[in-house]
Amino acid sequence: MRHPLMLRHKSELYRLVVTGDQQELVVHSEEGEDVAFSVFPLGDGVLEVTVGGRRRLVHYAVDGEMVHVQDGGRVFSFRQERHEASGADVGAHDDLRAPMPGQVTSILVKAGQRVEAGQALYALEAMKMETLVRAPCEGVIARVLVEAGSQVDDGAQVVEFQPHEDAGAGKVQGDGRGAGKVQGDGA
Amino acid sequence: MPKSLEKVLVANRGEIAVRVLRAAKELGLQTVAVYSEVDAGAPHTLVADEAVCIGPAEPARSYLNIERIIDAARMTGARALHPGYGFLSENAAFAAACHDAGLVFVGPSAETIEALGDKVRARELALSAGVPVIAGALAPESEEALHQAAATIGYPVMLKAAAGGGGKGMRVVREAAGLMESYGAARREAASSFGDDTLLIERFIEGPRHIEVQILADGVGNAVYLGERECSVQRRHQKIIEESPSVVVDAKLRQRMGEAALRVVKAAGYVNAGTVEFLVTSGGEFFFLEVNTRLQVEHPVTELVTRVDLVHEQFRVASGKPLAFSQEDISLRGHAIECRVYAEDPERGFSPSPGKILRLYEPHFAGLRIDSGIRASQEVPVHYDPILAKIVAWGPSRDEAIARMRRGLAEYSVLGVKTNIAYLDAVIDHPAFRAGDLTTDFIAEHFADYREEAPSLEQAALAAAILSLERGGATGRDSARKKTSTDPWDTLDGWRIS
Repeated sequence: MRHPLMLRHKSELYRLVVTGDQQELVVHSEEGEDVAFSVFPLGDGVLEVTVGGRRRLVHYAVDGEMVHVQDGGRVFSFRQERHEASGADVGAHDDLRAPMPGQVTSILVKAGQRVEAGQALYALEAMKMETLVRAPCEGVIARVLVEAGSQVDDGAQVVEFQPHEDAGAGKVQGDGRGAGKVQGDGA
Repeated sequence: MPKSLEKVLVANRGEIAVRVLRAAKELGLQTVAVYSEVDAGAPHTLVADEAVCIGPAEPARSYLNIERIIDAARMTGARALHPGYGFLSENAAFAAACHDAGLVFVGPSAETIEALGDKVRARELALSAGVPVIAGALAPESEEALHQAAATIGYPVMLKAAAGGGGKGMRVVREAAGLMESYGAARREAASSFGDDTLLIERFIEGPRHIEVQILADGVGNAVYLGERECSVQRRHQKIIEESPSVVVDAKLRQRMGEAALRVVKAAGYVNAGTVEFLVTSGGEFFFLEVNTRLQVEHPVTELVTRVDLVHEQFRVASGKPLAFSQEDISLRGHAIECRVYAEDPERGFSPSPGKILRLYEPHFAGLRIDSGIRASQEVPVHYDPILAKIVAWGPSRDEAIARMRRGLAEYSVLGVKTNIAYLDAVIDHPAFRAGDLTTDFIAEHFADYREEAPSLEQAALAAAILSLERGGATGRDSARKKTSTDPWDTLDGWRIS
């Protein structure tokens, strides 16, 4: 067996190659580090894994491109990437997309309106909690794309935001969504 | 005697519906579950003898729809109704509607719920019973009057839903500039959670503990307190970890708080299980907060240290039976801790993480109790509170309870939705938590910058190995291919998954 794979965990991309036979696997990393596993499937979604003589149980689930692994009390979700380019554009503004599926309970800005950094733009309610989505920096609301009361999906575009030139995209770190969003009351 | 209730309908969903339905079955009662369209096949519908669909996913059209729930009780011939927590559990109109329909409501009377649910009246009741309260008032609707009320009380102030609890519709305001924005948000949250946007404004006490007293009262004048629960570990006023007993409550303070709690509920003519919440200052002073006229989410910690099944007692009291024990019979043994497992993403501001549960493993071992409302291949809907399960650990000492809890958290495995399990483990492993050094600011102080651990290279490699095993299957197909290059990167696009 010889399977090259690209896995993404958040902004981290792992280029790995899996070699070996059914139960003795070696995973080669791009940096030249190898990890040798003995694996023994214990039924649906459970694996006995031995690395360096130490044995443990791992729960996992594969769902489309996603592989979820529970190991040592932590769950890690990796996405399999098919193309080099994809995922490279994290850090963009993301237009202050809905951070979760839910109902837009109020829109607090109008198209064309100038907003300050941290100003609340809209309120989203899901699972009985209201979250205020705020401007990550000074800018202008180009468009408002949904009406108050609408149900939106995770990542739905609610407002189109143009950052002020001086406050530009360079200021927004990380994955855009998180940068723009401040939970709740700001207290 | 609770058998006289014959058949009980549980007007709730999730872990609490499962827990109450089981208790009813243990007492020999027949059971009816209700569910919304998205909850078809949910665990609570499976443990009940019968299950009735009461409408679409939106809470207002199902779990908050009094008419549909009463109809379901009529249709199935239920004699009693248990409301669980949340939804209609503290709705006086619902209790009254049950009474009018000839159903026994497992909880206090509509009048008591109304009196205690109105926080202004509840404070007056506490004051009249000689129990100290925090200065505050109804929040005026006009901007000017609101600013004036806040200035009179003095910042920081707390805005909270007059009808609510559980952190919904609550905001702390530290300065006048943020007052109106918080007022608007708290009102909207109050309206959507409780159908009532009336707000209270009160003095916000810095760094207190939240400690509550569990009480049980029967219909013939007997009432007992069952120790306290320390619920200081809260995120945005939502409890996440609770324990009993509290490390700062000694026998003397327990008795003083317990007796104060009983004075309040007796003044209200309270019957059934209830909780009196207090703020406790670092100096050991306590102030009445409110009475929750229902079973609490965190009731299992009390059950584990008192060996009393509170839901059994609720049914006994509702059937008209007097309490079978008195205050002297109640003692606390050992220590219990509860962690609430939520479908939420700590990395994204704890936003809810609905989705399909791909895999679920719940550990079971001595000293561990899991109250769960989920099953594998269930969709966790977006419409309701994100609680999935409660992990409750008991130990002879607090340290032993913590050790068991850590093992329970490490073994509990739910895949497909993001959860706060790793976060809970980080909290109970924190030196301040281990020391019992808790205030309601604990999370804000110690976990404001919480970040999940990144996977190690070994864990990424393990994920790759799993994908290979799952998708590669038999090895022949691939190993026979691509013998030309020795550099693995040359074949990066050579392997495609069907």
